[in-house]
Amino acid sequence: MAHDRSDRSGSYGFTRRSALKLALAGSAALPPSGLLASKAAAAVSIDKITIGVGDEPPIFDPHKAYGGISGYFFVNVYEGLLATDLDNKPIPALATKWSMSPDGLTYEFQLREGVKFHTGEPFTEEDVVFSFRRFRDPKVQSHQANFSHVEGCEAIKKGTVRVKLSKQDPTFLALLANFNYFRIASKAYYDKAGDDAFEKSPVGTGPYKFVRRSIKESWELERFEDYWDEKPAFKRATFRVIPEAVTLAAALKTGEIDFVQNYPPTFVDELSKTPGFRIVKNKTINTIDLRINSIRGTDPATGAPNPFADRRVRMAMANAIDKDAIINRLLKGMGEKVAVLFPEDVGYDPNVKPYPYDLKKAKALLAEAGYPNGIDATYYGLVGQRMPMSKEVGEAVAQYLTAAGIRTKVVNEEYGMWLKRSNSRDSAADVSLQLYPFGYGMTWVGGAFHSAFGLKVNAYSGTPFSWWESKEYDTVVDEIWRTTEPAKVEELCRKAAQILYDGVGTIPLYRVIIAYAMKDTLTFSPTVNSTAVELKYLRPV
Amino acid sequence: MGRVQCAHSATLCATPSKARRMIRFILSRLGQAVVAVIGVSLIVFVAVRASGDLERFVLPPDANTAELARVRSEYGLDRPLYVQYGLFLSRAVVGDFGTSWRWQSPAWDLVRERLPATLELALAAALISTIIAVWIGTQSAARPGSWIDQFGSAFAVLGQSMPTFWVGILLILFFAVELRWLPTSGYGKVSNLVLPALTLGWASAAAQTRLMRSAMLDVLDSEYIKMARVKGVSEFWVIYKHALRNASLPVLTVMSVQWAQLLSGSVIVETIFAWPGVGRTIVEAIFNRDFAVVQAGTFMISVVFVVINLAVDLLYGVLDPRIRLG
Repeated sequence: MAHDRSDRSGSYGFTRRSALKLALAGSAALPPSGLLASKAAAAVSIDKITIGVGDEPPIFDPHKAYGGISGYFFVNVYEGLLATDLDNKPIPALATKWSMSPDGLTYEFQLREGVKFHTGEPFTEEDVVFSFRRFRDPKVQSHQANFSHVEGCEAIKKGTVRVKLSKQDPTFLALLANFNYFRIASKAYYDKAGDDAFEKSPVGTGPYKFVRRSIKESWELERFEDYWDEKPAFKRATFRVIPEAVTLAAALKTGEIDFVQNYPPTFVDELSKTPGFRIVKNKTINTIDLRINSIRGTDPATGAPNPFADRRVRMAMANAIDKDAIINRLLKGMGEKVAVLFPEDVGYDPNVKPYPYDLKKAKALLAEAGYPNGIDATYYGLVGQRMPMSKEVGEAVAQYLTAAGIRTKVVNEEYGMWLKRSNSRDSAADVSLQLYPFGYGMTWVGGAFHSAFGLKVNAYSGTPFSWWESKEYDTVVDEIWRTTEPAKVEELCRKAAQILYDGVGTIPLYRVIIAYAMKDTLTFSPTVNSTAVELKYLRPV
Repeated sequence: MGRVQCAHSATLCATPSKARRMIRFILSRLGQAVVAVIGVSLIVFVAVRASGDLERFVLPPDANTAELARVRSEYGLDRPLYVQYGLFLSRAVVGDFGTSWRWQSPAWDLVRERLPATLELALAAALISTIIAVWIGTQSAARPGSWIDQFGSAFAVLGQSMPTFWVGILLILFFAVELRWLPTSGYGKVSNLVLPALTLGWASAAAQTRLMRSAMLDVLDSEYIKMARVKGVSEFWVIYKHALRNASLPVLTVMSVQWAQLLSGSVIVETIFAWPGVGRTIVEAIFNRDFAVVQAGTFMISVVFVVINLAVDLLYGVLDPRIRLG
């Protein structure tokens, strides 16, 4: 998601968001179609397109980078052995075929022939071996957790490489396809250019080649005419960095930019009614979940039993929140209810439905658990644009819980403090009676876009973001990670999700939907990798 | 002894004595400036570390304990805070503010490369605010109760009470979206500079307008102005030659401080207008817990701020001997 540019004025203060709303209201009042809507968009040229983004990837080196933000650059300039299609299924990219050994510990990849780097040099097995080795160097890439089981990569013959794992990984192919910051780079270019130039003038095999960059301003790409696959429509592309949401929206209106990734949710309705523009919505890989501290047996402050350790209390909370109202009224439809996994996830079960809003049942469950007079709780919410509308959603959740008898106080925190507090392994977070909103979808964490990752990281006992423990669940997750047969993995993921759902280990509130805004002379097909703008999917009408 | 000797030769003695006092004055102010910069660096150093753990930003949420520990060690965060600060100071003296974890390049270079843009914006804002303040302030004082005076009063109140981001957004909506006269954002052309400079100079112009008006009213009421008018000097010359020069002295004092404050004000304006300056760099670094960049950026801003204030202090000393000799 976009970086945090929070409006952290007090609850009753004059916030930037309120200012924006006023500005928008003022513009809407102007005849005939509003100030912002007063000029129609101009047509785009296929020679050049300008994309507006809220943040920029700091590093262009495909092995040193981190985080979703790198996707802005990498998806257009670099490629991996695999890619994903629009349904998030792994498809061939630099590897055309692959096979897995019966024990699931060895993979062989047959590499595509005739692929060139932007320097004109051919892509070979040496580049794959080099990329694996360089990425596995902790001095180059700090985050090795996802690749810690990769023992090595070797070229076994011309055009074929073998990757050995120390343990089975049902997500490995998905990881290679989705992991934006493990891409294949040119060994010959690295040897020639050196580390610094490698980052400053990056070279890949992707559909666009790097032209220039001005930090905090923009970066420019040019279509790679020797690209092995279908060429994208636009000859040149400029990504302009505009951190302020209103400015980004205004720049689209004035025609300074043609396309905006993650259009400010506040303005989506207004733009969708404005002639000359198009909004494309995309279900992201993020959910906003409510995590409940059910680990502690007692409240350290009072010594009383922790009410949230009781499943009935958590169930009461799941029933107390009207998610439809939050999605429709607060988020203006920019969210979707989710039970545990997304429909496209491995192990998704359509019969597992989100807990319905039932206040009567919530109160009854609370009374049944021994709390007829209710309980007190603190909700530690996140403020800022990292999760759009997170402050407002948090306040609504607190109101719903309070109405059911869980008297909830809201404490809003900036990302750094919130992140620290939300870590169940952090001693600073060691207080009871706390609830957290989270922004990580079950399939997101780790970049593999695979349920096995999310189920492990979000709810497995002892992981930093799990505030719930279940031996039964842990056993199933362990089994998932010892399995590579797809049907079996699917079945186990479904089973784990069911246990998590029944135990109310988390309360997913909604899946975040984001909007791409563009001139109506453009069309765009977003991938599940919502932070990236894959130019090959952006075309003139 | 010195006094006795000086009594015999006042002219010879006065100069070295004044020079010594001036040097003492400058050294005293320099010392205060150094203390101020160190104070700022200490506050920032502690504040950024108290607001979240860097390793959680450097690594993704699924990072394991060993990775977290390694990053803490790599950035020296496993050492006591006073040791970290001591190391920071000893390195900062030679211009080494550490490496930005996010950009993986020297923090000082990242900030230094952004400084020209910030100075450009601050200078343009200072120019705009000064022109607006001088013109409206003098006209208001020259014609009390007129429309320009009422406009000036309203502007002074509104200008200081409207938040900068609000002014910036309104200017974008009006001049960029509606009129299409100027771009919404960007850098590199004069047209890119107008809206951010106007936004940044807005509040400063309002404050200076009030001061200019009251200073002009005082001066215009003085005897020498009345005499000038009696002698038949034109109103234009009375205001812009005789009155404005004297009225400018107190205003200049405030203006110099306000110009320095424009540097810190650029933090918001640079973000609104996508201006690639130090302010925006600091904001983004704060949100990403990029300690090195935050420290380098605030150090740079505080040094510039202190240098401007020091220059003004020294100017006071030159203009008013009571200050340097007091």
